[in-house]
Amino acid sequence: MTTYEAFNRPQRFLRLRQFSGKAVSILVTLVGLLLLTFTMGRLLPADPVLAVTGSEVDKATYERVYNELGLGEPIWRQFASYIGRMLTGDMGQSLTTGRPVAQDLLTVFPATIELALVAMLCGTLIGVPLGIVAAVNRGKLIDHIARIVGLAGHSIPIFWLGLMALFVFYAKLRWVGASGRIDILNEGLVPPITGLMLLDTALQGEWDVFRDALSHIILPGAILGYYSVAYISRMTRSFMLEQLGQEYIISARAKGVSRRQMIWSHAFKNIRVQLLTVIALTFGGLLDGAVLIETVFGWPGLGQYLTRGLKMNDMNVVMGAVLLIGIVFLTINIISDKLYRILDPRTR
Amino acid sequence: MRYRLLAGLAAVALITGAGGAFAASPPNALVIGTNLGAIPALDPAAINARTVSEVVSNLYDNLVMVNPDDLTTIRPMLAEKWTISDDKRTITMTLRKDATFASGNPVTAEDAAWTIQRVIKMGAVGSTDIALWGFTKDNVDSLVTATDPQTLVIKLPEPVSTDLVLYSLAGASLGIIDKKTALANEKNGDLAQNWLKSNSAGSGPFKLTQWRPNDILLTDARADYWGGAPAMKRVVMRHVPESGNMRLQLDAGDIDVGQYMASGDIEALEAKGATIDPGPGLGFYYIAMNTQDPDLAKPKVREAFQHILDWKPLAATTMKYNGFPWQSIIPKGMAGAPTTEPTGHEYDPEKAKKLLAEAGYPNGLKKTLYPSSDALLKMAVALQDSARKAGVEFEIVPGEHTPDFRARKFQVLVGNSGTRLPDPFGTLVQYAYNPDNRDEAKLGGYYLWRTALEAPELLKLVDESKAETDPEKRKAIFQQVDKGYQALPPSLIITLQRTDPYVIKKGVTGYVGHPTWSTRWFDVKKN
Amino acid sequence: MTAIMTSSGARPKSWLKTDTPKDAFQASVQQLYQGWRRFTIHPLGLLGLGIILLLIATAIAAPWLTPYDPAAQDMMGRLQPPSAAHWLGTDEFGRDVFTRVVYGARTTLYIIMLVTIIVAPIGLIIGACAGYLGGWADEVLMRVTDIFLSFPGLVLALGFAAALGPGITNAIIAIALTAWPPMARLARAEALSLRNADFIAAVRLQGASRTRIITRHILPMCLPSVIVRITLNMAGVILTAAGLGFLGLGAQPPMAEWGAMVSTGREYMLDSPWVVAAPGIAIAVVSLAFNLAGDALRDVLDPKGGE
Repeated sequence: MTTYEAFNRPQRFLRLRQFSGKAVSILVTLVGLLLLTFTMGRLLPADPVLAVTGSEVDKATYERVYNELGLGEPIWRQFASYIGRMLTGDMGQSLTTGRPVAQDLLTVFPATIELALVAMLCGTLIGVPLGIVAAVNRGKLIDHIARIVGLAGHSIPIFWLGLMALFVFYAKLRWVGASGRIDILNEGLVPPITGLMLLDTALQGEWDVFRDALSHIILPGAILGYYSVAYISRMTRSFMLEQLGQEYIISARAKGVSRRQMIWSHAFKNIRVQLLTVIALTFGGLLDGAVLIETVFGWPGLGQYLTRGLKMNDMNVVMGAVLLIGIVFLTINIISDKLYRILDPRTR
Repeated sequence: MRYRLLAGLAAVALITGAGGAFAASPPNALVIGTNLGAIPALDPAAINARTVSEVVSNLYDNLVMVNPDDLTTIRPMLAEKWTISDDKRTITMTLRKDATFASGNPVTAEDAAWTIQRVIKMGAVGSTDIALWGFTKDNVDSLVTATDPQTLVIKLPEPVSTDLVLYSLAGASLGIIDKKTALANEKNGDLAQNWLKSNSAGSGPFKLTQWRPNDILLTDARADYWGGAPAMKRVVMRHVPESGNMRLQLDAGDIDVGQYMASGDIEALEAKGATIDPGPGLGFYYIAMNTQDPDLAKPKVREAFQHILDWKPLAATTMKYNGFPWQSIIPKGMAGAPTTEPTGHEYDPEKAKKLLAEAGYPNGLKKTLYPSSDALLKMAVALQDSARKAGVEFEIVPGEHTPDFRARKFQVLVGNSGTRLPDPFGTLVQYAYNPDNRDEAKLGGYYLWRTALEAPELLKLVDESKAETDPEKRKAIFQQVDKGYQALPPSLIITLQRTDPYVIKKGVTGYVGHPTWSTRWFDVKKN
Repeated sequence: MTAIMTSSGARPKSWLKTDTPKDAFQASVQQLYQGWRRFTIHPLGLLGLGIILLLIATAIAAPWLTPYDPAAQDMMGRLQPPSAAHWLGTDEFGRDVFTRVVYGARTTLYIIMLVTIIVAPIGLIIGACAGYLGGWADEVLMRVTDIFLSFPGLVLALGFAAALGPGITNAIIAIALTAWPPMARLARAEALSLRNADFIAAVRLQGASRTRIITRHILPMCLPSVIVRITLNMAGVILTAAGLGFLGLGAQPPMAEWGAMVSTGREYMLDSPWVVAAPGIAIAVVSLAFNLAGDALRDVLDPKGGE
């Protein structure tokens, strides 16, 4: 196709072509994701047959399990049937517990999502004001302090911070719950609707349980959130600086608009959209930290589920969990990309 | 806006702060902090580990039982009484009439027979003990039968001490399963293997309410239990992988019993008044050497290895609660066990060097060292340092290496063992028994096979002890095996006998760690 | 890098400051010089750089900094609090914590260097090829990059570390596998902008082969921004390595690795906090230093985002 022809195509067709190109590339990425998880599952050092049987068994049993797992087939056929199963939502069974992986993921995934959401909230509540303060006091001591505070969150090993925080807030102050999502007393009191404990308890008006759940999530959530403060505050700062340097701010200032009003009603208002996409982008990074923080706090989420699968060489669990994380990550990237394009006037 | 943010933060602080009134664990519920990551599945026939044995022992009843403080007396459980034929080849058990499964179905001899047949037919790890008596897939259906709903007849395929058979029936893997319920959930003739992995169908005092791997395992008491309703209405096992976290929760009273805790944390809690159940076990900590490795095949090298681990400081510090010095394969206090602390494996780098030189390694040697699991890493690191001084360089490869050990794919490994047969036979068959040394035999249940060492005399003696019923004669055989084992020199060097400490909160009584891991919650009380 | 420094030293200062650089090389050296000038006005960036230099010095001088062997155990003198003999106390095996932190600097540096050595060429080549060649090759290479990018770093590293087996080298490979995609993206963007640059077109007209253009002209131009990105990523690499160590998939004992030290030391945290405090602070300080230095570098290269 020559350039000339392309220019003459109707605009609508071009859009469609762009869209289908995008769709194809997402599809290709998805298949690649599957290939990567499949490879990872096959690379795991242990014999998946032994993971099922628990120990060596006689030859007949071994072969039966071996064939049940489809390990005898050629590798490309195994991959093809893997894709086929994934398309129907069948992630197989955990080799050790025998439970369907998809069902397990339905219980552990909301736990991680809830944790990451709280973390995102905490990160925003700390990061945005910090970035604004830094921008307003640009170059001053307070700017440097804000930067150090933010970067420290990105530099201190999260598991270490978690341990220290548990020591202070649980052991010494008794402000928060120690491990798990809720107290044992409240276990099973509130039937799950969304799987998000805070939301479920609030929806059903179980405020005691809500408080309990909050006391369990606040510490890991805050620590995980602190991790994202660096990024959020840094971006807030540069967005703010950009706004504060704009003509309209300078003229508003000249007209005698108060400093506070200028910052909040004018500058901040204009960066909200950009901030939203930045915050959405941090979400994926939080999944990473969740793997570590879940271990420290005994949080029954995706991270623990994955590490347990790795330790027990539970192929299906590892493949399922990694795939889910990959898909979530990919989705967030696509959405925030889209969000940015739609909302940011400069890229439209 | 800024003030709104601040107000929001303050509100969060207030709410969580007000939530600070944390009730200790409730008076009629027992909360056990443990590592649930160690539980793969709940099918009795497919388990052989500690925590899961404890769970299964409370969900399922056995035909007979032994108490943790008196391992030699076999007590009735589902079997009210039993008789042994004159030729000692048939055990006839009479089952109690009042026992029911959680489903409401009565416990019958048919269920018991099916359970035993199932364990043998599945051939998974749970069958290790009972398969020793000669039961196979082909003969078990005719040997284990229910003649009427209350009568179970077990015929023995070969002469075996009936005590040993009864001991094996007391193990967690032989918890009696509700046949009807299980078969209702069977798929493609899998003997309900898949369903029982995460469901329970037992007649025990507790029933499984919820199990979320890596999170929580909830059991509720059965008010209609034939032995009466247990004092604890609910027993919760909570996944607390961090020992420090567990310590804080025990200290705060949120957890009643702590398992898998580090020695420093146990020490601190002990000082604060918690009860420490030492949890004596019937296993050992060992250094295993694969004799398929040409260097380790040399007896002199194995002898040298007896002196490369500085275990004394280890036993006094990190492993203070995990074991005590013991160097015989007969657990302390059992028939034939030494009456004084056996010696011979003292740390002596000079002696080790000398022995290595005699074996042809004047410059020492290099081997890879596997810990059997993460829990053994500390011992491996200690061994690495003390062995270095004796001229043995170890490269440690962390990870879960039990499967490698079972498949003979290792050079040197540190691990720990346990047995659910409360009899010296249980440990001897692990350590001194290798009926077929070929790789194809795949006898991963026997440690001597795992290390590829043949010991025909010991094999004969252990076999002999199987059928022997005279206490004095048994004792003599055991002692002979122990002596013969030490003279091999063995491919598994024992330094400590294993203990698994349980930290019990003040005011909790009746929780007694069982040496064969069948710890029962029935008698637990709180005040 | 050193070659550039020494050669620039031999030339007059005006060579660095002239407004009309004669070739690509002079232009990039000038850029670096200007960058350095801008860098020096960042006190925090300089602090970060100082800490990184200190880390390197510590790693090199480790044996002279401490009289102890990092692996030597003394079970009877375990978990001793900091004292004159043991500045940072001893750990659960009676090993000197200060010594292990100092030797741990070597491990950290080893990880950083190896990851850089693996990641920089892979990222550069893939990115430069994709960007310069465009079309089909671009599509394929970027899809591969996207796939790797669609996993959070630690999760991917965890999977690979478990699959490859334990050991520091395997951990490094696992980390490198997760660290190259951002580099490739960056290099691609640079290459894309260079593709139609006049000097490239000129070289092309002279009949230079594609390989030659990429290796001689595109790659060197992508290098500075990739270096900046790597510096910024180092903090992430250190934390990922520490995270792997924490989950038991990093260094093999008795190697001193900070993440593993925190992981094994956490058992003793309540009674002997120094065992985890020292390596924990070391990780935090070094990754903070890379963050600060990288942050300053970014400001230098992208003044819009900063001051």
